[in-house]
Amino acid sequence: MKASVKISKTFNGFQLNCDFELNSKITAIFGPSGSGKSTILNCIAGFINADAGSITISKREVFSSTNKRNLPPEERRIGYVHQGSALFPNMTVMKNLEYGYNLLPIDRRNFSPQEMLEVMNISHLSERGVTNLSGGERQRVALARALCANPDLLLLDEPLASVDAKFKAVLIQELKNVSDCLNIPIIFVSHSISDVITLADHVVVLNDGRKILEGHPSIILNDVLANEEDFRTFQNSYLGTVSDIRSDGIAEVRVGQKIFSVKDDALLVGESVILNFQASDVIISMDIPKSISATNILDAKIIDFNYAINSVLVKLDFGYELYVEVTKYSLENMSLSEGQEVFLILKGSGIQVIRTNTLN
Amino acid sequence: MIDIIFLTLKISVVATLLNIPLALIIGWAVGRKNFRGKFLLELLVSLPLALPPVVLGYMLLLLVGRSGPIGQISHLLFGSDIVFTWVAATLAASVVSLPLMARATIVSMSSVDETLERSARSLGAGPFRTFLTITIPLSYHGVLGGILIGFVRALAEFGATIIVAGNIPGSTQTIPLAIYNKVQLGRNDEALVLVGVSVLLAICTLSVYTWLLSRSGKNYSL
Repeated sequence: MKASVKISKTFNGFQLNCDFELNSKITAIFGPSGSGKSTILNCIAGFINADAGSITISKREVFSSTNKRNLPPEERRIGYVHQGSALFPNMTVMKNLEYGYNLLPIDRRNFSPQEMLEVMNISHLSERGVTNLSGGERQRVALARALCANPDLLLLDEPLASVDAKFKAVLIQELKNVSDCLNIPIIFVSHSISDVITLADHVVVLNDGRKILEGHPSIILNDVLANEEDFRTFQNSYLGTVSDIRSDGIAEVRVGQKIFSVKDDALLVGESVILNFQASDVIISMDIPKSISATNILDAKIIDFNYAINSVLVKLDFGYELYVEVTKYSLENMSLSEGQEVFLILKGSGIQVIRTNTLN
Repeated sequence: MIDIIFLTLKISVVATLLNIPLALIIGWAVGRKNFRGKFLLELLVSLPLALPPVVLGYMLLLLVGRSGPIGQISHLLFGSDIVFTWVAATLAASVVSLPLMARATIVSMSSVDETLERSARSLGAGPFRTFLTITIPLSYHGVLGGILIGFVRALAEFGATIIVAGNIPGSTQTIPLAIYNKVQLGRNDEALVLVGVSVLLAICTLSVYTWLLSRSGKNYSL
């Protein structure tokens, strides 16, 4: 067990009662606005005192109402990345990173600010002020700053909310690397289904201050909180390599064993790219389509269905997970079922291509 | 003449220096914290602004006069009185200028984004270090502005000073008191020179204040 949170808090007529254990690398706290997500983070970080309960991080009790223990935030060893990054505007990027690092006892220092700048690909920002950074750059600096303080746990408040789509995929990858390579568990709050599915490996669903569900992130797709708009805008995102540029300007991008054709004449062979497309931009076909203008046809297997009122989010496997939004009418009409082999059709122009070397 | 200017500057500088830690503590407490009695503290801090300086002077006299509690302590410890000394004039200047300094500090400190202080805490900084490295640097324009406005107010102090410190040449006679004295005696030329000095001091201080205000509108990008 990496952490255990069992807290209750009452304020302004709102009651928070939450109890969960952290065994996963990345845990999402998911729920609508006002459900108590940020309050939980603030209680864990020590910015708000819970009325009762206990919080244990890496076998270290940081709060316990029965043992009358309540460590102040600076002694909890918990990194906190705020939604707006909260970078110190009176300091350069480097000074921001050095702030927590310099306060660490020598024996607890792990990554130096210089190393962290390199890991996060932001060395070129080192001497810059923080007020003119983009949303993505700010989040990376905030993440690097929190990691320089060598925390036992990292808390992220809506980490992807202020980041544009282009940087989102990269930031997600970096967060996964943090959790995998540095072995630091992450708890983040989000009200975006797409962000939770893509980033988390465990989710705690809150509503009105209470935990209503807990488990694998896919559970939220079947939850009452899911709606048509979430399904339609659900983003599929893959990291691939440009394998060929055809004479007609179409680039072929390899993702695992599959090839995607995309229209982008600025790409170079061997270049790493991120492919993004929405669940509503993919068509499911029972038979292999012939004489069709769309350039991408993939074979895939249906794994699961997630229902909203009028639409269904179909989870498929083509070597990677992929989500497709269809109407309930189509689902019934085509008699789709779990385990069924189908074909996926996707127009090349519907795929957003992001060159990873332009993201630094 | 030089003596009068020097004494006025001495009283104003000492009064301002006395007020700085008080203004910072009040600014931090009212601007950054929630506690029972916060409203009362704000009210007390601002009260001198709404009272005639003569009233403040009289209240101060009750405190530091020979029969007042502070006056008695001073008499016991040092064997001397506070009233009608430059110390009394300094206390009077301090009392009338503190509200201006404290209010400016409260406003500038309350505008510091709380998430910045929280970030500092989660990075390992205690409350005092956070105050020194985040809160003060991010509000120093306003704090400095408050200090300057308080200094200007101390330079101009008259009503409370004349009650608690009198108008003793060479001892408690500051520029405003000297102008009053010289006008009473019909020495208008000398009064006019002191008026000029007074205006010059105010213009210099206010110029720095206005410059600071114009800078505080800008961001902190490097």
